[in-house]
Amino acid sequence: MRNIILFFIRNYPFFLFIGLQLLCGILFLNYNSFQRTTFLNSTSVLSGNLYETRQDIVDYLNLKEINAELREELEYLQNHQPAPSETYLEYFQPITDSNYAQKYEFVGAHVIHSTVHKNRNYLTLNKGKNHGVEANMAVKSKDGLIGIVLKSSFNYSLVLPIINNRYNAGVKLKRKNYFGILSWDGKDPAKALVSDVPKHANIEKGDSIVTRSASGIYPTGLFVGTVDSVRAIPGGNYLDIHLELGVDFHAIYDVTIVKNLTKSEQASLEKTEN
Amino acid sequence: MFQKLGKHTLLFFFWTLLQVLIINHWELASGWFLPQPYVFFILALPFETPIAVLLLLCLGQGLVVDSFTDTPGLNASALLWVGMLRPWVLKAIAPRDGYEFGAEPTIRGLGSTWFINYVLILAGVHHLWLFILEFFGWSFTGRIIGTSLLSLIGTLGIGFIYQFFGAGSKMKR
Repeated sequence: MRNIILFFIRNYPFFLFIGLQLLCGILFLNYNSFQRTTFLNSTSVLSGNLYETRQDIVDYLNLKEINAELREELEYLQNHQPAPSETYLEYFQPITDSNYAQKYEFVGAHVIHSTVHKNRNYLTLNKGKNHGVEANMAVKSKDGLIGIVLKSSFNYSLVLPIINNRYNAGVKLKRKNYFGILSWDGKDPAKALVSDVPKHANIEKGDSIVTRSASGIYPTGLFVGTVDSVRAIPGGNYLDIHLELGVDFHAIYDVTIVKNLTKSEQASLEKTEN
Repeated sequence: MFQKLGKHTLLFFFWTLLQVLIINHWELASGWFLPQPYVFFILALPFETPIAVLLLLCLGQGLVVDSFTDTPGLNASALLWVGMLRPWVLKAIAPRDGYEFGAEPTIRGLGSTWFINYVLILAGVHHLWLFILEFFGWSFTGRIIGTSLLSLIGTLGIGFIYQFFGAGSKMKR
């Protein structure tokens, strides 16, 4: 007995090493659940603040480009706005039709940190609970779908983007409404995969893929990407579709967080059936 | 003693912040070039640092870097290998007469061949383990090895620049 204790004491660095490695392994493998509960992520006060300061400096250096982008967007909006004379009604008319009820609320945010070259990429946004951002809200930019809010702290939120191998979402073909599941294989941040689309869907290169809003998270019909290549899985009934993503994850900065005001209604209705 | 403690505390902030605020934002060679110079904090610790302290520092710094990259446990696990192997590597590549007491692992102190061996072995293990965990899977074998090698060259290069032009070169005088 005494020898065993001596053995442990003499080799304590080795056992300490094993113990700490196990701790790291547990942290790493239980990543998703820890992500929600621990301080070990980029929405924490320390890393969030540092990232925001860093982004402020980068923003200042890029003001010229950001201005040019804003001007372009402004011109686009001005060119696509209907002339005022076309829009007025003959008389005041209160609208009580539920068709006109607001379904989504939008809040703008900036990406203060993002990665593209990893297997599990994440984005950090500079809006959090204080701005009404909660987990499971959709995130988009003017080019299309970006991802979903995983967690929010008071001032920051962490986004699970399409280019993370843990990401999944229901999508559909814009032209024909066939639906499938969007995922990412960790290889190219400009491409994604769509699986579970039946063979008879006749998908062609160039078709648009949009969100489906099955779970009430994403607005219906939000652009995701265009079909790049289609391959029938041998011996199966489904197609293997490669997608060219609409969003360039190398250059995302201005994003919009989408809150579905009727999500809880949809969820509770669907829950009654299960 | 306290002077050394202060110096290494500063080095901790310097290497960690350099890593998470600057180098992690480089997007070079489509993600095949990801130098990890934050290992130089551990590599530059005095030779006589007790191994328990070394391992706990590895865990601590690793978790700090992880909190910025949203990968809890990943960098910490890779850095623990550096802490564990460092005493053995130091013994294996020791000069013929051993190390003088109070010597520091720098080019000035021990020469550039020694420094290159030291960094290539320890940072090599660190990089390989880091990228194995990062891109977990056989289909990524080429990418893991390629990224490790390219990044290792980058890490070594940054180490050299620091040794020749950084604070380290002046402090030794």
